[in-house]
Amino acid sequence: MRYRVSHTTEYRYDDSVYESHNELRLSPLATPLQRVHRFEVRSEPRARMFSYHDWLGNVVHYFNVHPIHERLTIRAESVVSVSPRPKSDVWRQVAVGDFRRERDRLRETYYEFLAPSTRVPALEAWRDLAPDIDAAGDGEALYDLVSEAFARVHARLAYDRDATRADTPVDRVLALGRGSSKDFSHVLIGALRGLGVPTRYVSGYGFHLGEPGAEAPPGASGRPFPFLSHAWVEAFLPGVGWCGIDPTHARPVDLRYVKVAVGRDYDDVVPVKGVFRGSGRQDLGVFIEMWSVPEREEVD
Amino acid sequence: MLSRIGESIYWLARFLERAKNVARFLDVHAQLLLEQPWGTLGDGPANETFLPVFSLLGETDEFRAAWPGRPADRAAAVDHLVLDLDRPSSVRSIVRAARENGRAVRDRISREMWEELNTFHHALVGLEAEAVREHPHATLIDICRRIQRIYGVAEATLLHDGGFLLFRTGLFLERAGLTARLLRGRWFKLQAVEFRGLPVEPLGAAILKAASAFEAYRKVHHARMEARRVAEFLLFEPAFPRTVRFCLASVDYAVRGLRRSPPGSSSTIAERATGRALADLAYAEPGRAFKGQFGLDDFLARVLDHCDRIGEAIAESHFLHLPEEMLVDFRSAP
Repeated sequence: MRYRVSHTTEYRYDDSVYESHNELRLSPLATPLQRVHRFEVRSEPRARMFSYHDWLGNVVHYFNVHPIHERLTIRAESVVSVSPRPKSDVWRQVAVGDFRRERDRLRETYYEFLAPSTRVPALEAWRDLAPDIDAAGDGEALYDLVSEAFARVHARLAYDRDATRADTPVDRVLALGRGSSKDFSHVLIGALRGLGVPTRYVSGYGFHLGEPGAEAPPGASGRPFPFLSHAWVEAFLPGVGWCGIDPTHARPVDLRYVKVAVGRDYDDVVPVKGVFRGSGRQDLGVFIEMWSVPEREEVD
Repeated sequence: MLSRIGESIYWLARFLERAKNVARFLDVHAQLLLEQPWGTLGDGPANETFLPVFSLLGETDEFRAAWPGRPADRAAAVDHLVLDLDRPSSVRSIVRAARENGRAVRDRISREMWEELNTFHHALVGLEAEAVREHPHATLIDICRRIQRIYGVAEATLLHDGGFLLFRTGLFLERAGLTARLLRGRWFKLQAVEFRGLPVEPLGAAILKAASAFEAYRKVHHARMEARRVAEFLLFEPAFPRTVRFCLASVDYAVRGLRRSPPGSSSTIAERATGRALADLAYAEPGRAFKGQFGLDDFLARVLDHCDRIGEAIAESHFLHLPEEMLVDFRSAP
């Protein structure tokens, strides 16, 4: 599937500000299963864009606006195509026994995706959400334990996009019992890390994830859930690799998902962040549009 | 020379210059308050006397978030801007970062230089917080002096090779940006003072002193101080080592030295970036700098933009940058 995504972020300040420094994680990731045909990002006021790869492999663009301004617009356009991902029955071939043998090595290689992180700290709650791996037999599929964990996350949380804010801590989310895709992802990350499975946070776009015909997110009360910035998780299954799971919709990630950035939790993948000088209060608007576009023969 | 080593030396210099400026801004502001009591220029709440220093350094929001409800007075400024080791922008943290960079290239700098740097760091760690809050002047002046001593020792004991050129590059690039920020942070106020017919002297002198430029300015301009003269001096004076023009010329000279490119030619993007910036300063009609929509502010924004681009270009042409394909590692697998 090929998509065109337009992602506009607009800040309005109620007083003029200057020397604004911004970091963007808006470019879709190039992976063997996801191809980025075009990515362009521009700011208004215009500024020279620089870019680098962060330690997680994400593409980071950054720019500085020195002149005085009252509004800052960041417009990112991408064209990206997504190839079919391996079916989840491949994932079920990884046995708990294989996982046990690999555990020490995983702990060394993927320590940062197993250790508590800023937004997913060590909590008692993870113990209830993670099934008991020591009780499982060597022959059982590891993925069954993973799906058990996300079933339990579902029993605990109802989807409600407006219940939380970007900085609501995860223990508060658990107390509320409601949350956005970000909160679902944080909770599932906690549960899977409790199981000893390296798990990372993924930010990206979802195309028509909950429109009629597709399954609605649990508890979404029939509200349309069209194309939005979305979050899910990836669990590392030894021998297979990182497997994308969308806890909000309770299903493996498929062709509708465009991956933008990965990290330990939301703090590693914040799409737009920055600082400025001046004493303005800011108003933020985010506009995302996403179209499915026809696959073309590659000429380049 | 390995690019990793060059990068450490470059940052060592940038951090030292940054620390020196924070200390000097604070010290000069404290003196200004003695000469021109707070409130005479409609400055703001009576107990927030150090607010201008916070805003000059872009630390106001950080400070409000870190110490809710605390007035921005002298003790608060010392705590937040000098002592707090948890904040990466405090003098103590900056010097710690400078020392870490020095330690990484311990065998590339001289023993004398390392000893100066190391004792400096330990002296800061051992500061008595209460004493500094009470009498900041002695400590702040000591910080500036020690850093200048490190510069002197570096000049006198280092091999003047590529590493030394990168030390100079870092020092002067940081200084160019800080002089521009100093002027930018105080320019509107200085203009307002002059516009109201008040003497420019106390504030104008404070701005010059914050750039250690007061005496030099007086040698060039003997007449009554004018806001515009102060700004022109800090931007364009070719013979004083704190002005933006002098700093950018020094960066340009050092960067060219790395590849031994003769003037008028360029072999790296860093040289092109410094050349463009220098041309902008050296051949500017001084009058035009004051003519933008927001006056001098526009020109200063352009100077800072030049500084960003130079920093970027130096990183790209002289420091380690892995090619993109090397970064797609096992972690990006499906």
